[in-house]
This record gives sequence, C-alpha cells and structure tokens, in this order.
Amino acid sequence: MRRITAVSTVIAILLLPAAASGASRKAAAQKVTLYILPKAEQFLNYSDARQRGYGSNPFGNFKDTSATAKNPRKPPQPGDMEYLQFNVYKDPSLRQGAGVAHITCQFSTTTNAFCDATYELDNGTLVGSGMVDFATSSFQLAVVGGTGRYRDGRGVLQSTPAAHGAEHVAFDLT
Amino acid sequence: MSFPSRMRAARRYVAVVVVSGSLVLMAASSGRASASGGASMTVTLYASPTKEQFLNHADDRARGNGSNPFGNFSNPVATTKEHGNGPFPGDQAVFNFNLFAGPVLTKAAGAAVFVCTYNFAHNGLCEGAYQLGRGTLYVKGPLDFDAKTFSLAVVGGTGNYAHLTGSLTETPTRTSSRRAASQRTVLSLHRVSGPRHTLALQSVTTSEVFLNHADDRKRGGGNNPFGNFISRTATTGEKSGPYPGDQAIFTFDVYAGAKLRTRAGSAVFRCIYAFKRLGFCDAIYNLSGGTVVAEGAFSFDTTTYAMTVTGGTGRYASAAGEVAAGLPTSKKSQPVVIGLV
Repeated sequence: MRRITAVSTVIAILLLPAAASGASRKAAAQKVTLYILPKAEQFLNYSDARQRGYGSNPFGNFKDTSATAKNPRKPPQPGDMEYLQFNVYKDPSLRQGAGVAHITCQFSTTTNAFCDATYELDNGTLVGSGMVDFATSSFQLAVVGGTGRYRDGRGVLQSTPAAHGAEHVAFDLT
Repeated sequence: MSFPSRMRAARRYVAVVVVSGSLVLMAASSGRASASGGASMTVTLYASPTKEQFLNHADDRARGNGSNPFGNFSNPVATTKEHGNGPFPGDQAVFNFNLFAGPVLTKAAGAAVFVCTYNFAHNGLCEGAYQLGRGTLYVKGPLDFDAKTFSLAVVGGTGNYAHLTGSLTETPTRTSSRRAASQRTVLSLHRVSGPRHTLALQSVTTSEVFLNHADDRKRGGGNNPFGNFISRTATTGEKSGPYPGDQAIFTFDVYAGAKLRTRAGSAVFRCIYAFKRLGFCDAIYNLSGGTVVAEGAFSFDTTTYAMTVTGGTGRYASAAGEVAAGLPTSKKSQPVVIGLV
C-alpha cells in the first residue's frame, strides 16, 4: 500500500498545450537596455596545447591534415580564450549600477570566437551565446535563456560602442 | 555505474510519451513533477557528484592579445601575478553527477555533466547536460563557486525534452554520515511553441584544432557548490583519450542538398571533453539570413549526434528546436536536419 501511495504521489501527467505556451511567449516580449564597462580581462594562450586531431569523432572521423596554427607567433590562435568582466549600468552616464557581466570567448580558426555572455542583474540573469568577430566593434548574440524575471527569455542582444568607453547592449526578448 | 548503463536504468523509471502533439511526462518514480498551469511544469531531482576533473591553466595565462569589440580593452593589471587562492580566470572543471528520484538516492533517474570555466573572483560560466530517460535537458549560466546554491537557465533539450526552456535551482540537501552529499535540483520548465519548419542540410568537415590539456590536469581546487566535492581517485587514469578538459574546434561547409552543389553556409563547433569521451559541444550555423546557435553533449565514439537549438540571430532569433545528424555518406558529408520552432 505504501508503495502504491508513494508511486501515486510522484506520478504527474503534464500537458503542455502548444497554443497556451505560444501565447505566453508573445506576452513576455520586452526590450532591455544596459551599458557595460570593462573591468578586467584575462587571455589564455594555448600554444602549448595545440596539436593534430586525436581520438574518434562523430563528424565522419575527420582528421585534419594541415597545420592547425598558420602563424603560431601571432595570437589569438584557434583555441585561445579570452575572459572579460564588466560592470553593468542602467544609464549611458554610467551612474546607476545594475549588476555585473562576464563574457567568455574561445577563438575559432579566424578572428571569430565562440562567446557566452552572462548579465547578472538585480532581478535575474540573462544568458547570450554566439559568434563574435574580434576585428569589429559591435556584435550580435542569441539570447538563449535566463533566470528570475528573465526566465524563458529568448531573443537577440546587440552590443555597440557607447560613450565613456562603455558598450550599449540592447536586448530584444520574445 | 557507467553513463550508458545509468541511462538504461533511468529509462525503467522515466516514461515520457507524446500523445496527440502534447507532451505528457509521467515522472513515475523518476523525480517529483507537478504541473503549474497548463503550460509549465516543475521537475525535482537529486544530484550526487561522482567525478571531477580540474584544469589549472596557470601556464597559459597571458596579457590580452589582438583587438576586441569591447573598446579594445586590455587589462592594466598583470594577470599572471596570482594572489590569494584560485581558481583563477581560465581554469576549468568538469563534474559528473548521478541523478536520483528522491533524497534517499536509491532510484536512478539519469546522469548529469557540467563543464565550467572560471572567470574572476571564483565565479564561472557553467554548461550542464541532464541526461534523463528519454532525452537531455541543457542548462547554462553564471555560477559563484563560493556559494552553496545556484540558478541557471534551461536553454533547451533533446528527445522528449525538446523545445523546453526555463530555469534550474540547486540547493544542498541535509546529509547523514552514511549518505553521499547531494543537491536538490528543481527544474521549472516551459515549452516554446510556434510554427515549425525544417532545414535539411549536408555538412562537410573542413578543419579541426585539437587542444591537449594534459599539462593542466590537476585535482580539484577551491570551493564548489556541489558539496565542495573533489575526486578522491586519480582523474587521469582513463585508458584512452581524449581526456576530460581536452578541447576541439571543428569547422564545416554546409550545403543545401546531398549533391553538395548549393552552398548554404558554414558551421563551427567548439567541444570540450568530459569523461569517457563525452563531448560537450557549442555549435553555430551561419546560414543565409542569420545564425542558428545549438549545443549538445554526445559520445565521440558514435557516428551520429543530436543537439538542442538554444537560439539564433536574424531570421532565427528566438529559435528553439533540435539538430539531428545522421550517418556520414560516402562523400564524407553528413546529413544534418535542423527542426526549428
């Protein structure tokens, strides 16, 4: 009896109607504007770690036959990483603090890098992911989720240069 | 218990059935679940850490190099003068967990893997995969390694957890001396829906860079919110690599048809190895009109793989869905189907 009761208490049938969630997705649309100012940076040079492919992979067991670093004396090279920490502000004059942000990037085979960005604000966190060209001054990332007020938040963020050495970050969430 | 055998055990308890287009999740003995309204649900699991691999990148830290889109910011302070206790920016850690349905840790519900990269002041970015009976849920976000609790974003899932978003909150449970440390994991989930469409593509691998971090593998350092778990056993004793913490970057040309005549774009994967050659990959497909961003954790000993679409830009903004790659063809190309919502 205890077993039946225990099982029955943990069995739940969860219906997720498409129409209902679609409607709430529209209702949650919002725009968020922030200004971020770099505070700290750390670069990791992986020149001692680069080598030819090793082990199996599910991409046809592809093995590269060419050199993996074309000009190893000129970083960043593929695999190198860059970490940045930012203070976050609500206003372009950078007076009203709003939290902190971190961007973690790993360089690909060009000046492009995989970047994950987290914006830790008073009422929740926004998470962005995507490719950033380090030779440019602005970029776009996908907003892939969040916590707190931004739970279920998805969309796009656009980062562009602003005054006082800051970046203007515009989130378009759906 | 190995990852695959734990997954088989989990399937005995988790039954997820798709009925008439709606997701019906029967969490029989696998984890407590409750519906909140018609469009969201809460799943509770208990995670017990089993393995950890720490990577000390002290020998790799350098001043900033090259340009960046953040005002070309370069740290004015020497970053290699490490004071106090690490981990320091760039260090990494890989954690494995067994998942259970209840706090007594007797009924297996799956397994989880976290790959974390430290940034500043013992904070880090973590990506996690919760491998349950009929699919995988992916989480991502910032984590304070000196804290006892944390919250992360649920960025998507595969299998019967496809199109789910939400958040995860993890708190330590009270432990007795006889029981392993565990964390109570509460997943608040919500389904993304909308018009569906499919991209049928072929990918051809064009380059790979492998990063062998053998010189960086160490025992765990510093605190962590997983009960301050540190592996007691040697973490470098696996029989064949790649080993936890090693990384690989792959580039691909992407075509619209099997004849590989119509170029559709390109793709880049960045993968970090966890235990037993499980690769945790971030993927970006650069296609006409925008990018599709995906991530997935899959064995590098297999020939096919699946990932979750976590978002996108341009015409793919706010996208959710799945990436499914089939067996490579004789032309070395691989069919890739991206299902988008």
